[in-house]
This record gives sequence, structure tokens and C-alpha cells, in this order.
Amino acid sequence: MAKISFFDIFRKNPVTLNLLGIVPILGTTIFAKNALAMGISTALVLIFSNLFISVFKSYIKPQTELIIYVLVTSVFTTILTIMLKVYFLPFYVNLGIYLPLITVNCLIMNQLKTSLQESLSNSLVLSIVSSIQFIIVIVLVGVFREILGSGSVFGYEFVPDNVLRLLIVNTSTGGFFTLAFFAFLSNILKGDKE
Amino acid sequence: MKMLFLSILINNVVLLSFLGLENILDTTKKSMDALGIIVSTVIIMIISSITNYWIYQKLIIPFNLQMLMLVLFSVNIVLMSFVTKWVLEKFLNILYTDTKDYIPIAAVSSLIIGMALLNIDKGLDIYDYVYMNLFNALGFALIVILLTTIRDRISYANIPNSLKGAPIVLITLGLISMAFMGFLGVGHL
Repeated sequence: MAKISFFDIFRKNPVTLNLLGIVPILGTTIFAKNALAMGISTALVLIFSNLFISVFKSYIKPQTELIIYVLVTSVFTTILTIMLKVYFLPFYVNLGIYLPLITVNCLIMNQLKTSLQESLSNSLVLSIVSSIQFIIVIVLVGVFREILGSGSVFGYEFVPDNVLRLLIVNTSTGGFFTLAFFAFLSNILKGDKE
Repeated sequence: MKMLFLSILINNVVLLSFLGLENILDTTKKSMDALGIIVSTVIIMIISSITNYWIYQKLIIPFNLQMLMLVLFSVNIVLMSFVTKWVLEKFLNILYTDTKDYIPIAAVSSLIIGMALLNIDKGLDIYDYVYMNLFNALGFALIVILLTTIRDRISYANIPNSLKGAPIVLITLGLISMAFMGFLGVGHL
């Protein structure tokens, strides 16, 4: 089993250190509810496709690696899209184009590449850890942007009406700046050990 | 002409919808990487949008396969990237030695699959569809060139230790997208 300490989840976060899979983080985090839904759906696709790849890894040849990754992730994403459309229609409408884009998420591709070398249990643990890291970052960014931009958390409005909202946080510029702030925080957490 | 300005300056997909951002962050460290990713993205975009339109008209609409659109398109894009790489290796080996290494990276990007899915429902004919996707790829190319030159200058600057790496790139992109907001006024002319 791979050993991962509790602090590594925050310190060695690939999402904020190497900026893997940040397209949904920037695109869907205006409201924290959508951010949580996006995080959970990405985590589900990541874990299931990782499981599939590591079970059948002896049949995968280096020439056909890429197309198998894309095929597996797109099939799981299609299943997830259908499930969301049937059971959670508001999320399906709100996430929009970012839902099918889970297929080419960099975090998932990276995780699938590492899971070819690891054993089944190791790759399962690693995929669960990286999906937890992804959910933490996406929910934090979503809560931050929703407090500043709309004055509420998960739809519950607590900032009084006479306080001005920072409307630039709801645009793409605010998304870039917010994620830059979190990357800066994780750079500080990592320290200058190297 | 109006469509070109609209998709490069005003509705730039990289800055507004963040499509293709992961390739931008990886490849803007060196100018040769940036050139390779631009050329291969444009090539893949043209070829894959022609074949995607053909698949949509001949396969998806007659057999009512809208649910499998994502699978068909993404597999088609990766297959086309293999074909293009093979052709470049086989016949144009002297001309494009570096470009063929970037083609798989460019194919598995959210820009190409996102544009294929976004524009397909608009009822465009094949010329408009290909032009639309090509112009969006050119908008991507503009952002790549801008960011590469700015990162080249940043590498000589003296910035704080904790801002090095990811944060400074994101701040730069945020400033670029703020500057591009100024082009919104052009649309009303």
C-alpha cells in the first residue's frame, strides 16, 4: 500500500502546484454548489476509469495507450452525464460544456499514466487521494468566489445587502486571480525545502 | 471577417471558457514548444472538424446517437491525431520534425473537443463549422504567443519566491483577460 501522510494532501497538491485539471476549477466555481457537483463527478470518473485501467493493464500496449484512455474516460463521462440528466437536471444544465470535458481532464490523464506502473491497490489509493485533493481545491475556490462575488455560501446568503459585491470575481479574470491566490498559499505551505 | 474578429478578440474561448488552458500552461515555457503546439493545434483542428462534421451528418443524425456524440468525437479526434502524425512522419519528415511530437498533446486538449461539441448544435454548414473552429484555434494561438513572450520577460524579473511557478502565470493570464475585456466595446460598433 502506498503511504500517504495526512499533510501530503495539502502540501503536495498537484492541482495547485502543477496546475493539473484547472479548466473545470476556473469554469464552474462561481457558485460553490456547482463546484462541489463538478468535483464529485470528476472524482467518480477518475476512480472508476482508474479501476478499469489497472484491472486491464496487461492488455494495453504503448502504441494504443492514448486512445484507450480517451475511450474509457469518455464512456464513463457519458454514463455520468446520462445519470446527471435523469436524476440531477439543474446540475446538468449549470455545468454545461464542462461536463463532457471531464474526458480530457489533465489530472485524470496523469493519474491513468501512473496507474499503469503501480499495482491495483496502490493505484486505487492514489486515485482516491488525488480526487480528494481535487475536491478540496475546487470547493475552496468555489466558496471563496461565492462569498466575494454573491455574498453567500452554498446558496445561503449571509452578507447584508448594503455591502458591495465584488463583481469582477464572477468574471474569468476573478477566476484566474482566485486560483493564483490558492497556488500562492500552497507554495508557501510547501516551503523552500528543495 | 466579422466572425474572425468575434472569435479571436471578443469571444476568445481561452479567456472566457478556459478551453485549452492545460496546453497553454505546459508549453509556454519555451518559444519552440509554443510554435509546435500552435501548428499542431491548427492542423488537428481543421482535420478533426471536417471529420467530426461528417460523422455528425452521416452517423449521429440518421441513427439518433446523440448520447454517444462525446465518445465518437473524442475517439475520432485521437484517431485523426495518429493519422496526422503518421503522415507527417512518413512524407514530410524534413519539414516538420518537431511538430509531430506535439500532435498527441494537442489532440487530447479541451479546446478541440470543446469546440467540436459547442459549435455542432448551431446548425452551421460545413464551411462555417470549419472556419469557426479554425478561428477559435487562431485565438488560442494569439494567447499562446502573448503568454510566451511575457513569460520570457518574467524569467529575467526578480519576483518573490512564493509567487514563482504557477501563481505568476495565473496572475499574468488574469491581467491578459482583463485587458481583453476592453474589446467588448468593439462589438457594438
